[in-house]
Amino acid sequence: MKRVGISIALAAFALGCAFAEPDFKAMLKSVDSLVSFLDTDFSAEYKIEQFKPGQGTSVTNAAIFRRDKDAKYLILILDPPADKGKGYLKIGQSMWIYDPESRRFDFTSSKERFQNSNARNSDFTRSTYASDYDIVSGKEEQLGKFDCWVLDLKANNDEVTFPRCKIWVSEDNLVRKTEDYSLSGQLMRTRAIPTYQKIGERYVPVMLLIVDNLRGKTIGGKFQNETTKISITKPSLSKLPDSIYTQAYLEKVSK
Amino acid sequence: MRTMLSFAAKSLIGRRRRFFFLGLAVAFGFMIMTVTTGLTEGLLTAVREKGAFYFSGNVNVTCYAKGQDDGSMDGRMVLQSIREALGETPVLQRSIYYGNDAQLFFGGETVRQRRIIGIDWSVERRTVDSLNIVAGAFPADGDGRAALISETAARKLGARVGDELTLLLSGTQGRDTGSFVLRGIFKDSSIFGYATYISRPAMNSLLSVPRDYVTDIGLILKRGQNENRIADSIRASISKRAEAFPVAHSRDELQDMTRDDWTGKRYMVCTLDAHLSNIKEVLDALMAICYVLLATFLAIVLLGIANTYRVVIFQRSPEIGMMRALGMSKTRAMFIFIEEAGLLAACSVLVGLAAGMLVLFGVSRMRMPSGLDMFLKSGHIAWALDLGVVLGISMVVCVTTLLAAWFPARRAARIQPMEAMRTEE
Repeated sequence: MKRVGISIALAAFALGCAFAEPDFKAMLKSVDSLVSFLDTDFSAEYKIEQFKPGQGTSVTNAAIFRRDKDAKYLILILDPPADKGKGYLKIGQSMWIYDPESRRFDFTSSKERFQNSNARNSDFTRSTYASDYDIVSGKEEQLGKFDCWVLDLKANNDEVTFPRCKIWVSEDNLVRKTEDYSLSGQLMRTRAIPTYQKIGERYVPVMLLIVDNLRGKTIGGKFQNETTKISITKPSLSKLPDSIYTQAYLEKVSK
Repeated sequence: MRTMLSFAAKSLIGRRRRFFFLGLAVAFGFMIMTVTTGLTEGLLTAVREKGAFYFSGNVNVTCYAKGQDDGSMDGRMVLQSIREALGETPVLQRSIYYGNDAQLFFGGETVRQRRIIGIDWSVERRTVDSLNIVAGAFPADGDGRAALISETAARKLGARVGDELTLLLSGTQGRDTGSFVLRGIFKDSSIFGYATYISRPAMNSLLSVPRDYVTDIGLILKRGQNENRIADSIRASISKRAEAFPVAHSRDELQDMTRDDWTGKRYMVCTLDAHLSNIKEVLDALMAICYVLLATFLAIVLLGIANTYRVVIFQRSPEIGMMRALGMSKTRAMFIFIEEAGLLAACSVLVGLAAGMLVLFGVSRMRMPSGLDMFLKSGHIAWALDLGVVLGISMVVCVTTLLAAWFPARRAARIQPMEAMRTEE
């Protein structure tokens, strides 16, 4: 009898564990830490392919240098030739765009579109889901081959690009899909990150697909969305000189 | 006097061939002046009407903030200040989004907007004449889903009246979108055209601010009311209750004041003239060039008149001598020519005015290219003639003509009768 009681208790405990929701806040912290580089610099080459229905695809190549610890990044456009030398510099909350033609720095914002693509300038910074968003709800969902937790998030400040979003987090605490919404619930864009590349103890997407849910064109009676495909190659965690994250550096390399 | 006038008229008619081209030149000059001033005044009036709608009135009050202050306007205080300064007067209360990230979406297309203006349809219906609505209509009172956009924006979006647009902007809680039904399309490809008008409550809901929130309070003034004096009195009234900038007289002044080193919240009373100072400068420069050209033209006409009269007087010397011999005084002899010139100028002015108005009427019937929208009313140039200006120009033309005739006439009056009678025509 005693054995039966213990068995029932153990079964109930196991069942409870199986159905218990994980600590979503801890999950978000883990999500952020896996793709952030707080103890080192990060650099890579990004290939940004922008597809506009009816207009074809344009390609931009850029070199990115990030120092998450100081909330800094520098993006240098390498291609196409018309934009070569153009740069983006972010230091803390301030952000500038540099035009080598006019040799002028203009203020820009993290919320602005990057090079007229569907990516935002904020897409190149470190992940800050845990600090910038509160969790509204979470549920399990199958996303292709991934078992995911879908977290419904609401921003706790107005600095973020999207005040509401849904993220699909796979079992390895990597974000596989996001949906970005306006405050009143309009779906603005969808991102998919099917594969990651491991670098040290961290992860960097191999490819990122962004679908703009508001921009596109009806062609042949069918609505086609604008999409941006970002491929990341040559990731490195090597230490970079401080001088990289300066306006002077951008001016120098753009000459 | 009447005899002299009829004498002058008879003389003019008798020598009509000689005076015809002279009169034509004066009339042409006056016609050009009439057309120039009529067009400039018309363009300026159209710009001012559109500007008054876009910039929330001829005089408007806004609030600026630096530092920790959120910059929200104390609408009640401003209304009380206006009442104290001017008594009960109708005002426009608007909630305007000045951020540079506002966008309209439709069918996958997008267009950026300079301003999203939340207005009270029922109040602003009276001032909407300047908005040239080319499709749909001004929304019904209380229509919270209505939007008015420019033809340029509608064309870019491929949207038609009745379509549902999505508006994106950054509110106090973050980026938000709203769905609006396109009720009306107005024609304006100028800077005033990159604005979307929606209802104030809908705007405030998008911004996540209280329903009665306002950013701008303005007054539409009647013609002849002094903007600067009214702005000064409102500013004085506001400054009793809150900090206020001095009244700005140009956009540069306005920008300098707001850029200066200060913190907190300050109110700005601004006139339409200040908002339009750059446009007005261009029109004033244009007007100045016209006046320089006209002054040159007048100088040529003046020389022409003087020369013509010199010849006329030489030819009429026997006649002058005869009159002088019969006892006509020097002054009277001189005034015969002066009156002739005066009559010539008056007739030329009348002909020039009529011709000028005819040209203005013709120009106003022509459909103008949309690049000039800022200066047009319903796609046409609306000319306007200020009576004072017309009288002023008439005086200038008449005085110029009289001056030109004065010196030859004086010489004619000094001719000795016997000597004059001996001269052969």
